[in-house]
Amino acid sequence: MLDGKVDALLVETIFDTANSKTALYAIQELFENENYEPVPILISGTIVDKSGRTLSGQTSEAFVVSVSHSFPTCLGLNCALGAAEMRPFIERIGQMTDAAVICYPNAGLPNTFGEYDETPEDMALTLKCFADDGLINIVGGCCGTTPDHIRAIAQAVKNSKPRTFTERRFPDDMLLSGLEPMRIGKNTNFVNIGERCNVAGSKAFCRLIKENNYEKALAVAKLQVENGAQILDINMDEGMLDGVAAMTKFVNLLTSEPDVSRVPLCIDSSNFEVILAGLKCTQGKCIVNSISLKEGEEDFIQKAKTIRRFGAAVVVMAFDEEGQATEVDRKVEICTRSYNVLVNRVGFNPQDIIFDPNILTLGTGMDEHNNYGVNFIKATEIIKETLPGVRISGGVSNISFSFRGNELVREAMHSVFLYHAIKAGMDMAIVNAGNLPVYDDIEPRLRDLCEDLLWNKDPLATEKLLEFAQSCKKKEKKDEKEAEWRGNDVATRLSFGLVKGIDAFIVEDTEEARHLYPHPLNVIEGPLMNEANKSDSQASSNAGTVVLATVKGDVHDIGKNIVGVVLGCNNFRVIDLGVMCPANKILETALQEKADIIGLSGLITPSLDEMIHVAKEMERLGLQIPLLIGGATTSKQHTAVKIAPKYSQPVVHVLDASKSVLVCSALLDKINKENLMDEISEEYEEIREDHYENLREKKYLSLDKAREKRLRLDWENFNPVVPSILGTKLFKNYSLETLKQLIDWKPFFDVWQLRGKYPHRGYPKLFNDPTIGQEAKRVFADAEALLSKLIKNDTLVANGIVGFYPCNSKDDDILIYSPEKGINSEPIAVLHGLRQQAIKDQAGFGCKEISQKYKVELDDYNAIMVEALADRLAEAFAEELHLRVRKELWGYDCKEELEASDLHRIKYQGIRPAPGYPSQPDHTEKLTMWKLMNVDEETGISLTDSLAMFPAASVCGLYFHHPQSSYFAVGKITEDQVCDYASRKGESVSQTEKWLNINLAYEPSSQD
Amino acid sequence: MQSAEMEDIEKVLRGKENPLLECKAQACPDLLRRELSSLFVSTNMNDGPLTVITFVQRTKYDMSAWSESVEDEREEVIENFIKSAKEMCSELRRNSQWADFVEPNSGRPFFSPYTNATFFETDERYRHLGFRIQDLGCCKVISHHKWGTHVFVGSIFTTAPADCEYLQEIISQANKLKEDGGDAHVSVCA
Repeated sequence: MLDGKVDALLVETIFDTANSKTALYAIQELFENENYEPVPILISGTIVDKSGRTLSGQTSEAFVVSVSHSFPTCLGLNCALGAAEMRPFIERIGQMTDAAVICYPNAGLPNTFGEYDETPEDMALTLKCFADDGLINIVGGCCGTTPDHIRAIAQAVKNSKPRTFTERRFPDDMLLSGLEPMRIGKNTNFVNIGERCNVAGSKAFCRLIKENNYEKALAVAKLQVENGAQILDINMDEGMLDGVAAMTKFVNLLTSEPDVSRVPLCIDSSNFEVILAGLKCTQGKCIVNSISLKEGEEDFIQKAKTIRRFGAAVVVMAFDEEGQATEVDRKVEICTRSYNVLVNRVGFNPQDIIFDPNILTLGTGMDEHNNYGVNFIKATEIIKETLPGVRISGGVSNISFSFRGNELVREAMHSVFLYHAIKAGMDMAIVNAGNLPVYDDIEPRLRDLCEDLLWNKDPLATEKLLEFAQSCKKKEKKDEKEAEWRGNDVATRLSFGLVKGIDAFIVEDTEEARHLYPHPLNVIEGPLMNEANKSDSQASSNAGTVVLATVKGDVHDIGKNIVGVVLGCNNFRVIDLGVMCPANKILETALQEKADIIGLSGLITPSLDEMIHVAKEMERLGLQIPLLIGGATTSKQHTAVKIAPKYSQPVVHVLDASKSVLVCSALLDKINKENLMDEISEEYEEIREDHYENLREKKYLSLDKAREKRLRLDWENFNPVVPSILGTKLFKNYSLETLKQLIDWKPFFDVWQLRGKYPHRGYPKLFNDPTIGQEAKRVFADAEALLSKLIKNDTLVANGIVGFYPCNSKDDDILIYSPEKGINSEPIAVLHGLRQQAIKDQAGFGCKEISQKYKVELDDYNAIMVEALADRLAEAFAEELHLRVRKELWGYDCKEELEASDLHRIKYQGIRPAPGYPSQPDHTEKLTMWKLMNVDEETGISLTDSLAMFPAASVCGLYFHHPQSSYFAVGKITEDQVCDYASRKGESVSQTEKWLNINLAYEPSSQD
Repeated sequence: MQSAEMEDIEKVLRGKENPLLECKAQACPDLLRRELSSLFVSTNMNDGPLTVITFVQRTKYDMSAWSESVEDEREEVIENFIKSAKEMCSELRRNSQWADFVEPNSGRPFFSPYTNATFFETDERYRHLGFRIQDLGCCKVISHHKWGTHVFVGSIFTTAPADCEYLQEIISQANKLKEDGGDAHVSVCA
């Protein structure tokens, strides 16, 4: 084709990404090695059905990541689906790629005769919407389209503006993919690369491969992913094995197992032929481990170019012609040289480079090896600082090789090493996911010995560790995860086994079940068919069907659950989709179940955007049913201004659960519906006018003026007290008895909508309220009984973490410094702040600060009572920790003696603001806190896409102890502050506008 | 508009504006009237005159912030509102009119029987009465056209017509309340 002088090459109808990568490899090779003049490359994948995946199982996002290395001029989709079905996937492609977006769907879905029915006009209309919504750059038709179709489409989009795509997406992230995409960016915690599929490292795995038992080998891979491996390392380097054949076979097998192949692979070999074999059958964007300058620069460049054409990231060892680097200087020197060659001569994206500065064995008995640990950590620090974009990895098990046979010591060493290496900037490592103790959980004596060994503080550390190792017996570890599901009753075990595809116990379980039922057939009809039966057993006589969901990224559901119960009691059929529910699942369920109403819930501000998205999707799909909006952050104003205009059917904001029945009943009754809708549309119109008028009218100070008017604190007479500890302190299994005493019951009664009337307000006075007093007493008694039970049975676990760091304010931000190095070093994190601009009194940051987080984790999410109590305990834990901080940990207020009721009325010195609340409305600040204190790993509290904390009964905040510090509301802010804030955070303005949407004093231009 | 007229009448009656308190009566807007029928179930709210008296106390502290002083001031103004509202209601009843008010902490009617319905200070229905409800993300705050969020707002409802003499007298008495320095905390408001 190139000889025939084509203008561009189109690789299209890709349903297997691995296949298309062959074509892309060939094209790139022609351009690079055969002197062909490069022409634009166009790439178009095919999503085979509404699951949004290619035939080989990749999501559209993963597909984009897998082929973007060829620098396509445009990327998009064609075939298999009609335009309407293709829309969500085209939208996602646009959100992932830096290239133009191409879209040429079929003329609808084929009818029973395999023919396409969509008319040119219909298709043109749908595609015009794509164009008008800014989704596409190139448009056309695939199967079933005719010249008439193309003519109609061309006519329809003639005046539409093409999609704009100037901003580079994810410039600071490493992108990888399996069946699903993976982004490693500045906010990613440490990445675990599973190490057990390594014939050199795992004897068991090696035996399985040699015995050709690939089924079991696959199970090893699966277990690792289940245990948390985010990337899977595959190594077949063993003298007795044909590496190329084994790699090919195993990688192909992995591809067939979606639970494993959803994560990216790391193709690991010292033999480049084996690496090539792995690359050839990997469809996602994988990591190659590894290459180095060992064989000289030419060889290095050759290999790097090949890897680049496959689009893989690469691990580069600190190894050169002279050998392996052991000292800091050599490590840095080799990595710098490799970086320059890769970036400048091979054209590698720095984000795709991972250095392995050699983790070498400690405790070998040779003095010159004693600094190996320190050297790695120091080199890591320097490399991260001087070579922008790169990441650091390494094989952690090397470090403890001298202690083979003693897993307890080895695992402790790994944890201690990682604890420090991650602080120094290590991004990922090959580890046995699931077998790493938490740093603070290591037996203190063992931990100290490991510290001594790592930092070379005690020449006798090795001997002492060996002694310690002998003194304690090897602990047997049981596989808790397995034990957990094996503890269920036989019916549950059977369905679990079926769903998860675990056949190890299926024979004995079926046998056990057979004895419980009169006839073997009952086993099949009973537990085995359990899932299928569930959905059929719904009765049809009800007031209507309501689909309820907490939207994607949000985990809070107490309110939604109450609405569900209340509607259920009023004879509505309620389908509760639970929390973190993506839009397509809500819509699919609504369509399948013929829902009459959809109800969305959310507690944190980012959920508001997701609700808008759902409303838009409902409109696009032409749904004809009302949408209800509820949850703590939602408001009539937001519903009226932002959501209702997106959906032409009724959108109603529902204040609380008791209102939901009234609204739902009215909406399902023809006459009432009209009345209600008339009222609502009139009212919402008023609110909208009011809102826009308000935006115009309100006066704001410029950011500079607001800064000038900042609160000036009295620092002269303020001596910050140095906390008794610096760094983090973890609290695990905190005494619930203690927390119980500190519970603030008022919000608990608010959950139940039990509010005492003057003079009987608040707890405990509301018990005397003539109307709700009795009911409140009953709920309270139930709560206390349940609470005692929960405490007795250890059903609830309270974990928390507090961190103290030296810090300073800089303009509107807080700089945080390493506890060891103090305020004269480089800050290790920055917490950003926002300033009030609406004209009124100013308050501001500017105090010494510390932060803390904690959670109460629970097993039973079902009962609203348990959730309400867990929430209360989490808050009580916050009070308890804050109290201990004031009196003991920070110790600035040793004399304080307050009753619980005083605590809730904040009669103490200092404040505890939290991200997502009025003093700092930006939820993304949580990411900084999480990263700084390693919260996820230490406490198990994680953040969702929308930065909600999970489990839901969690609280976080920052401590300020200056006596003049006070809570304030940032309120609306103008564009100058948003731009300034975005640049301080290193984010795009549109990104910042998204997270601060509710605080904007203007309409952001990027939104429609 | 009727409410604008009312404002003028008030000004005439009052002579000058009270810097700390704004008590005014307006005919209940139709949209609000329907909503109120679920709050006050013992009275027929659909027909006949219905008047809303908004009792706005200016506060020293910004009610969108949160501190011990804010809490304390709230307690005070709520106490003051309940006291005044009770007096106004009994005065209206003496004139054979139905009257009730919303207890701010529970959002429930003070005299009428219990229902599920509530009407809090941050209820978006206050928009009908000329207030703005600002959304702070996790919570909301009511805002007054002159005093912003430095206010506490309470409401009293009655079947007395907004322009009748005894009602206007009650309003003008109420507006004199804080000027006389009857309350301790008034002195702190500059």
